[in-house]
Amino acid sequence: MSEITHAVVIENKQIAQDTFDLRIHSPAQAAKAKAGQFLGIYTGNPAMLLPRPLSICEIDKPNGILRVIYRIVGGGTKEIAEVAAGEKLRILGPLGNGYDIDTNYRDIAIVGGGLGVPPLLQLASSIRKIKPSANIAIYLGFRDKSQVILEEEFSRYDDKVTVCTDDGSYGVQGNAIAALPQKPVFDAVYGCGPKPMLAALAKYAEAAGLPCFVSVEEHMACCVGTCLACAVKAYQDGGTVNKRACYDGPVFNAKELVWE
Amino acid sequence: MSINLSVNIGGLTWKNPVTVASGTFGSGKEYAQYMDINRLGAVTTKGVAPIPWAGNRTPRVAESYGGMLNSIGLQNPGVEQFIANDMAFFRDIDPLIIVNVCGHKIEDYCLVARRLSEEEGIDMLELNISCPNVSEGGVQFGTDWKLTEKVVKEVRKVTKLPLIVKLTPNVTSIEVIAKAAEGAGADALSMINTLFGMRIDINRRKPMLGNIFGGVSGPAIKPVALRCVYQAARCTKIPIIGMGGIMDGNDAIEFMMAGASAVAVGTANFANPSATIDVLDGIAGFMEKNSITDINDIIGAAL
Ligand SMILES: Cc1cc2nc3c(=O)[nH]c(=O)nc-3n(C[C@H](O)[C@H](O)[C@H](O)COP(=O)(O)OP(=O)(O)OC[C@H]3O[C@@H](n4cnc5c(N)ncnc54)[C@H](O)[C@@H]3O)c2cc1C
Ligand SMILES: Cc1cc2nc3c(=O)[nH]c(=O)nc-3n(C[C@H](O)[C@H](O)[C@H](O)COP(=O)(O)O)c2cc1C
Ligand code: FES
Repeated sequence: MSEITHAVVIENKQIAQDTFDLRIHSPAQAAKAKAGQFLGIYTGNPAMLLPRPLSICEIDKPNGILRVIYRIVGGGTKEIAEVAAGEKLRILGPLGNGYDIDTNYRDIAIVGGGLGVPPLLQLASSIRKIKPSANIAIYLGFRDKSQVILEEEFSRYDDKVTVCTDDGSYGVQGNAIAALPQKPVFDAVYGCGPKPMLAALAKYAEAAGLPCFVSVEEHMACCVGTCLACAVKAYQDGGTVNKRACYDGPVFNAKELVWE
Repeated sequence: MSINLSVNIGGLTWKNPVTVASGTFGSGKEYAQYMDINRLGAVTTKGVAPIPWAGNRTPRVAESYGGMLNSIGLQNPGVEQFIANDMAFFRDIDPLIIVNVCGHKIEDYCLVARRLSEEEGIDMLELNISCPNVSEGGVQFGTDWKLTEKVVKEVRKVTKLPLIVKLTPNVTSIEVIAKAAEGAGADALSMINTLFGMRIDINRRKPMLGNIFGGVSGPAIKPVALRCVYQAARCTKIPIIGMGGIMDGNDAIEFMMAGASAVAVGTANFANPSATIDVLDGIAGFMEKNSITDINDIIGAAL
């Protein structure tokens, strides 16, 4: 069950170039939320009708707080960045299916790219909580040094977080997929990021015969499964169908999707 | 004060004049967790074709000032799967059920209408001859009065269900099309479908929609929609379901004064999942404030 509420902004601060860290008090939604789900955040501007889909980066159930990390890319995110602590945001959620965590997996790789990185923080935390003995290997890719976020926080879950930048201005040069071990040592891989990265991850996992779960992004209108804006092509019954990123996803088993 | 909200459309009594615009509400299951679906006068479904349609490539939506564009392309699972997926839910809820029917050819519309007429629990059909997002059929029927007449006549023959014909604003004269639909046996008209439009991503120097063009909806199109309803109401006698940018009760009243007997809420659902209920409460509120006891007294008040 998801719902619509007015959440009080606790903090909304810049953490990297054009990138903001938002914490909202929204106990009912925090209580229900799981890793990989997202929120539909409305801007206060009545000329912008649609909710902005933004992933939940951390869930603090005891305090009823949800965290979102977002980048200003257009009018809506700009409006959201102007909201001050104490003010309210209208939000819809928690939305989507989220990641399922299988306790049989011991060695797990988490691979993120750009603004696909934030939701993986809660995933790492949830895995650690559900299976304290799991080995979590974290690979994060960014365009350049100015975009790197959350490295330190991820290091709570892995002694050696691998950070990559496209231009080599920080960490390993290249994308996060290239940094993965040639010979996979994992039981499963989880990913979130731009489509080409996810396609490469799916290929990597397939070659190694590993289960792979990815969170995909599509432009959305309703965010709740009614409008069919967010079509993702998936295999079904020998043919293909369109699934809804917002409702059937955003997390899919990579094998289920048509990568073209 | 006791007020009467019920209206009559195509021989059926709607307990109130509020429905949803096709394609903006799924089958209603999803939004039912945000609002009380049983308060609606009617629920209108997404377009249903004889066989599954995959729809257009993504991105399928883009925002615009006070509105949005969509190029979903009538993705639907086909009439059989539609019945299997949704009919049980529809039989379970109180509002009247209007199924939006689409096709590439006249036979498609007839096939779907005939099949739906065999199902219990469907109250009205809405013929979508106005979708701008499919390359074949759809809006072609709605922009040529002869084709409008032909498709309505043929569908009329295969179903006894009340027939609503949904019109496009993308025509030179909506009156000509409205009269053709009425003459061919439509029980009601619904209008408007989306306005044909586009947007361009200036950073990528490319159209924002995967399909290049799409349909504009939302409050930005309300004046166009009102004008269409008003013109059609002046030249036809059948009831009109008005839509296009309705966000609140006052918008709905405006449409009813322009001649609509009922209203549909579309894009507003995305901005506010309980928009339909706000519209309904807003209508009642306006009536109470202005001592109007019967909603029928304001239908066409501005004509
Ligand atoms: C499931 C999901 C989770 C996401 N999580 C995050 C996140 O955690 N952090 C983050 O920074 N971004 C995230 N995004 C991308 C984010 O939704 C867009 O950057 C944001 O909507 C842009 O809004 P805008 O008004 O600033 O941009 P504009 O370009 O002005 O937006 C216009 C319209 O296009 C839509 N839109 C634009 N870009 C995207 C996009 N990339 N994906 C989907 N819709 C888009 C907007 O929602 C809006 O309706 C996520 C997207 C999805 C689908
Ligand atoms: C995402 C979306 C999907 C739509 N799908 C359909 C459809 O399947 N059949 C149809 O007749 N109209 C469809 N429409 C048009 C609406 O029913 C309505 O006529 C139009 O959006 C104007 O109303 P509004 O401004 O309240 O949204 C769709 C509109 C939107 C925004
Ligand atoms: S955004 Fe409307 S169905 Fe996914």
